[in-house]
Amino acid sequence: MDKRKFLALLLSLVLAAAPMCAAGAEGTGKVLRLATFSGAGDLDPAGIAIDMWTEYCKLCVDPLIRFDENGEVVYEAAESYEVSDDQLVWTFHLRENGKWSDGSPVVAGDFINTIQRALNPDNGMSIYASVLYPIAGAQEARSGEGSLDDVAAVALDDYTLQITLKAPCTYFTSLLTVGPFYPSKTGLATLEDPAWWKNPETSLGNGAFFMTDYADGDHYTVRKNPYYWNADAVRLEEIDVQLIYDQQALLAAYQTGAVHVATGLPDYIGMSYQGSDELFIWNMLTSKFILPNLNVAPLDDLRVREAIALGIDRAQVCAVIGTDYIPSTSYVAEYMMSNASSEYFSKERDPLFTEDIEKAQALLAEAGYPNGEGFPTLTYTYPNSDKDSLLAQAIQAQLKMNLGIQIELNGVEDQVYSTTRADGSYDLIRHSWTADFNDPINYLDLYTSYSGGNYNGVNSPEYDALIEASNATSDQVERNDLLHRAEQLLVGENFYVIPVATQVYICLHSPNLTGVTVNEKGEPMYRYADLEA
Amino acid sequence: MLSYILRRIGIGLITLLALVVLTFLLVHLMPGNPFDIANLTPSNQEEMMRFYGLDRPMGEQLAQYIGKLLHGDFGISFKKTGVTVRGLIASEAPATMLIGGIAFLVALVLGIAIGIRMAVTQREWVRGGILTLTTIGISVPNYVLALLLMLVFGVGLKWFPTMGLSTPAHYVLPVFTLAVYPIAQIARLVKSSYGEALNQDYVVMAQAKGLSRARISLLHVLKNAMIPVITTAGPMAAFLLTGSFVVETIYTVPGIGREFVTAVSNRDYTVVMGLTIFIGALIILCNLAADILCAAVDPRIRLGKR
Repeated sequence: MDKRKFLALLLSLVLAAAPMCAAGAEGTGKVLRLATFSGAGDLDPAGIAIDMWTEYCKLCVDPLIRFDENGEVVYEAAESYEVSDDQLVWTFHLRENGKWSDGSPVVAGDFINTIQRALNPDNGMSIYASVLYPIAGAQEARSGEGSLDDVAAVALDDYTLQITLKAPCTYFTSLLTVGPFYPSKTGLATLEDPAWWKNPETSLGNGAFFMTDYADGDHYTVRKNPYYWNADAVRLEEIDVQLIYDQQALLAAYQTGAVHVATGLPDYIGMSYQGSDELFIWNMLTSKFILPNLNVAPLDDLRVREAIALGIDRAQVCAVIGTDYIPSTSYVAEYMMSNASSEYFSKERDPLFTEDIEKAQALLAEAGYPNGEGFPTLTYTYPNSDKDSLLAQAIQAQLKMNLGIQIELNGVEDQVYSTTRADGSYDLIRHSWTADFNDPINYLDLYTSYSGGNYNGVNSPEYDALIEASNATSDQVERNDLLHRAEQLLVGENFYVIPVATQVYICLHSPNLTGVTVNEKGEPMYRYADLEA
Repeated sequence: MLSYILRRIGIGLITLLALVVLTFLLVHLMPGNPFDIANLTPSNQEEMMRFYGLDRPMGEQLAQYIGKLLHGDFGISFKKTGVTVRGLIASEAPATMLIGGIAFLVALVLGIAIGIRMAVTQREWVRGGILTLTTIGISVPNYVLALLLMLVFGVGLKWFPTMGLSTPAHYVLPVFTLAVYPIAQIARLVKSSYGEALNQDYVVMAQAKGLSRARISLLHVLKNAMIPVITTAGPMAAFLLTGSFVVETIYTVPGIGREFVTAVSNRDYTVVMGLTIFIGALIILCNLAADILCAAVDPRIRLGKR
């Protein structure tokens, strides 16, 4: 029959086309194809510089300085910097061979361009403007009370950037890795053209690569920047960044060879690729913890909070959730580098507490609830994602089994979750915090009595004093001690927050991929990577 | 006929207005705010809300929104600097409509062909076999189908690519995933209506007149058997053209189905509203087209008294 022949012909044509497209992507130079799971945010350092920017800036935009995996300074756009004795005036000397991808020099004005745009009261997308507030005049300019002209970030000459702070800020260099401190090309990156960042004509790079193509929600492509000061070290010709939101699709893309790198894979990949060179674990600066509402009885009783903290077997909890959850008793993210040593902050001290079920039972009995008898049924509120639901059930089972406490689970939509957390209408609530920059203060200043992120009513003058003292000293070792004492007070002594786990991203790297480095936040960097044949 | 069409358009417009108001209210009644992201403190969030006028009374916001809509302005995205909702729809709709359109055509052609085959075949096992297949086609949810096809033909056999739409081969799996359900549905519809039409007196009459089998089936039987298909084709086209979150997410197609779900979870109010209105307008248009087609084929419909 003719119809059948026609169908057969059609099918074979389609089949013939399949291998052609697979071959088409490979050019002459080395093209790395990497896939990430989130296309949230944009690529404007003075805009919504979240997920998508995080990957992009490591490829295309160099900050003044950054840090390597040991927390050591790496000079990027700046060659050196010095700070005045009073810790207020920071002077950065830019590389004179620093160039944008159009060949023009990177000047101090390009850094000021981002700072000014981020602080402009007309910029409604500037979500990280507050990291600039340590700069004299910045907060006033943003709120409209002061003038942008009075912001104390000025160019002494083309290659000298001077920033004056309103008060000493010992973690100022860590802030330099957040969006608003990155440069953007003066005259091209403007508030008048809010879409400049997705147009290759205006979206220049001063880093190893520059953008050549951008398709919203789909992918963007970057090519080697021939003018990059360290271009000799760059091996790849092009990098294609694909945004794949579905984990199965991400895995399929890797397994079919459509991409060389897949980031944020399902947790079971951690098991099935265990021991393989292809498995890459990205240690996130994330902390998952339980917030007890201090205004709710019996959570106002320290013994009860301590019993809950000690009565959970975190290894068992994480075994239920998957290989991407790692047990942790630390509130400051387990993998955060210390400022005073080349170790993790969490490894510089003894654990804040040790799990001890017997002691937990004794504490609960002492508080008047032997074996959980008479203990009211508390609710545990959490966003109802797969992972958080598993976490909730595991915690519920642990508390029931170890302490005889009954917890009612209350899984809610994300939106409801954040509202509930903010207005304090919960008993126990899951909280999670991912650092914006590498410094413990990012976690610890959330629980001062006047912090907007203090959702459970922590009110400790002693704690406030420790945080204030840490902000006042310029001695990193002394400061580090103060922060340790603050964390000890918050967790180990008062159990105002109850850490449970930290998280990692499971990634796969093609065996041909070499030269991947890691920064201080545990993020993989592909700028100097290479693909071997 | 004209007054029938005008009446249908009028109803469509009223539906659209109701949709706009309802979507606006529902979106703004969602708990939380769009700026509860990335460690933003409550005071920063309030700042952003004020900037976008989200702190003003709901009525005022609604009036302003409708006023802008009338000028074709869908607003800007809260989550991507410099992205207008209209630009977003313009850039994402083509991919969705292309795979949806192809799937629609494939479903019509294959569905009708399979349906006729089922109706005319004398062999019981052919009919039973096809019936089983169509039952599976209707009952297997598309996320299962999408994953299955991806794993078998993409990851396992490596016949077709699984990501994006860069070459014709990229269309095969998403289009097929989308088309399976409508193929099965149309095939079953055609089977029963075609089988029914075959037994009508005018067919016997045509046969008696000595007309060719092809002429009878195409001209006389098919035309009458098509009415239920056209009625279903309207909503079906709407269903296919407005994009499938599952298919677009699994095959990484940058389309409006995927964008819609992302926007809801990101609380990107303007994008959610813009896409709802766009999708709603498409559904209304498709139903309108189906109604008009039906009326053209069957005079009884347009003469029907209201």
